[in-house]
Amino acid sequence: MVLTDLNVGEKAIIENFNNPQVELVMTDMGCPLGTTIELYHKTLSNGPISIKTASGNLLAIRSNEAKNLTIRKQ
Amino acid sequence: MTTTTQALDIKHIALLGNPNAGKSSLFNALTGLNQKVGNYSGVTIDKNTGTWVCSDGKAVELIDLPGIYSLFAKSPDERVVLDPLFNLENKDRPDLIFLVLDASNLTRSLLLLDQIRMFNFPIVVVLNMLDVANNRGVEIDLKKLEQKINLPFVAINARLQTGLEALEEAIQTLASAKKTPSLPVLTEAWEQEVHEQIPVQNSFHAKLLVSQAEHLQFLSTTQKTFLARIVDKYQLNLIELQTQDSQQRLNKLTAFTAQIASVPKNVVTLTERLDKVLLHNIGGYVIFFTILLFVFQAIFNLSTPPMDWIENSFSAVSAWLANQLPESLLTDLFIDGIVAGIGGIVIFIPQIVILFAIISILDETGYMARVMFLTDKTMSRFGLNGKSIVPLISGTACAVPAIMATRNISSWKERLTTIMVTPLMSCAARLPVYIIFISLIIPSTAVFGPLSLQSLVLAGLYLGGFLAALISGAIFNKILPNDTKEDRFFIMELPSYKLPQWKSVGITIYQKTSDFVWEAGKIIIAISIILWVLATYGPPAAMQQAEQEAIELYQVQPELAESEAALIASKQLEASYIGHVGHFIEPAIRPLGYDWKIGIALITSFAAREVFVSTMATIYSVGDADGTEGTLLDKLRSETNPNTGELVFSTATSFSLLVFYLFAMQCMATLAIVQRETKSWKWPMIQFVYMTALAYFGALLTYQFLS
Repeated sequence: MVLTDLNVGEKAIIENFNNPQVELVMTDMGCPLGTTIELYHKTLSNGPISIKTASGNLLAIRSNEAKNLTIRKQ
Repeated sequence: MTTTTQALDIKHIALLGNPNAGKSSLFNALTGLNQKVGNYSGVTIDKNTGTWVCSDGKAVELIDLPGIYSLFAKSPDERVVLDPLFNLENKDRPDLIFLVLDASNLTRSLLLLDQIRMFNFPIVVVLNMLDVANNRGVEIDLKKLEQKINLPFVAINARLQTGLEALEEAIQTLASAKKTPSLPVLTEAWEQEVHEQIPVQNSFHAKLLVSQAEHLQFLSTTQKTFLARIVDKYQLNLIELQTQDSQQRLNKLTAFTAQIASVPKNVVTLTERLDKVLLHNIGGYVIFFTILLFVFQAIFNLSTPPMDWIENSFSAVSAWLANQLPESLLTDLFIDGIVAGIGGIVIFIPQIVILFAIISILDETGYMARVMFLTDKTMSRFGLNGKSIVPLISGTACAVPAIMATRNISSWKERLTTIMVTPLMSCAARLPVYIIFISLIIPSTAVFGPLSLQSLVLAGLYLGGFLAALISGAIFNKILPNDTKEDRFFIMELPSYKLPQWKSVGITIYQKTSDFVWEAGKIIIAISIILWVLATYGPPAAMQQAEQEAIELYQVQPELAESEAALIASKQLEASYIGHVGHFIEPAIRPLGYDWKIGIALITSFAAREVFVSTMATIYSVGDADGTEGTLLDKLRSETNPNTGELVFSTATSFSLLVFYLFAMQCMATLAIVQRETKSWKWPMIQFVYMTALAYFGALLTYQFLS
């Protein structure tokens, strides 16, 4: 399952970013592998999506990157 | 006995922290208007420094470093932080670091602290945003936190400016905090090998050195090659190296945070409730477009009275000066070159102030990040980025500050594309040109209720500029090489909504406006002076002949001009160097429907486009056979071609001019800023050529089709 499959309000654990660059950026933003995230908002027609991290802050990421990000739904 | 402050002698303090941690609020609270914006050496990134006057009267220099999440920098503005930390020679090297922690994102902001502790700087930890943390239901045991991090610690509220006195006290306790560097602790063989050539204190330094080597200015070429060889020899995966380091720190810090802070409760915050509306899939866009309309309305309507006042004041001052000063060439230069040049800059201040007031309010509240989020998809189809929306909106006032606003776009390709297309947005300087030709050729009949045909055409021109920017963006996206290292990510934080801080809004407006006045100002004045010289001087024989002809002509037909002097001026303008240029380019612009007089106006527009109107006023102030009085509009309307007797400003010519001004790159100030931002003349040249070509062929098609 990938991040874009998640519906708004659902929670999941990040299993693999499948992109080292994205992984580094997200890790440094406090969202490393293994964190639980919640899908916060999806924009129209495959636009960027935003997620809520465990500490409650909101990160936006392009769908292109999000669809490579594998997750385990909780 | 000396006090401890003197013992440590702190002169430079650096502010460091995550973006949105309230670092700049703290900076503004401590320094107020004692700020200046400079550049970091070698890069065009704004460096904000300011003076903090402590209660004992001692002045300390504060530097507000860019907000970063980690020292593993990913964009040019993040990299700026590394040099003052690493380079002993750096003039911004701090004596002390204020590390701002975001209480609502404790683990993440502790990551930066954990990294900074790898350097031997005295640190004061400043905890901010406790209120936001409490809103999320997070309670932090401050005593325990202070104890555990074992550094001078101050809790503040930067927005309410509370707890700031404690910062001074914290500095007093610092004297003994200076530690001597311990022996380096290096775990890997490659780190040892790095240390043999470039001494490092710990393995974090070694990791930073190898992963950031090509961007570290203080490293010599030999050192860079050496580091590249190490990477090769040990087959280091630099990205993985950095990720693992941060991941390990975060694991440790998550456990740490669990001991001192409660987990966030499942509360629906105000931000989440607002986002339900503002990010709504339909409502969110409706609100965005409504705000956009309001922005344009404000830029155009609110700015009209001050702009009129400035214009009138400047003409009054020029008239007064012309009366007071002795008649001489120097006076002419002063009034027509310098005063007119300054007027051409000052006139834009109202619009720039209004624009940046709105933009900085939207930014402060956290809404601008949502706009970037909402528009990213549309923008990325055209090779742009959600972050391009700010430069594009700013471009409707002036391209100069708009291009400077592209700096936070981390992808070089998307940033360059934004820079290349932003000048296509119709800036304020085009407006006077649009207005004069629209009033000339479009009847002021109402079409839809209050909307007149004239305002529809005007709206069409703005839309045309925007569409041209998008289409050019898509083309540049195809042509420009892809980003190599800096991949085109769009990963950004959506900060929580907050009320704007008027102090920061004021400071932003002041800085952006003075930036514009000085950066664009010196170029506009220089061009104004050059144009004045070219319009005043010509080949001496030709100039004399022109004067003779004018005098003779005035005796025969005095109704031709207001005075003999005016007729001389007109004839001499034709004989001047600029008149020669106008005649010289006439064959090229004839297919567009222009004569040499319009040619002169096109050239003078390079100082600033609105000069077109005043140049036309000068050129057409004479040669009007049927009357001496009348507005420029009347004169343009009745201007006929002396050879054919046809109207010069026919519908075809006027539309052709509108199209030309819509697309043409006629702004030296913008080209100079593009050169500064891209650090190369290549891009402003390409920009000039493609926009001029677009303008020329657009105008050509328009004229040929309509005539």
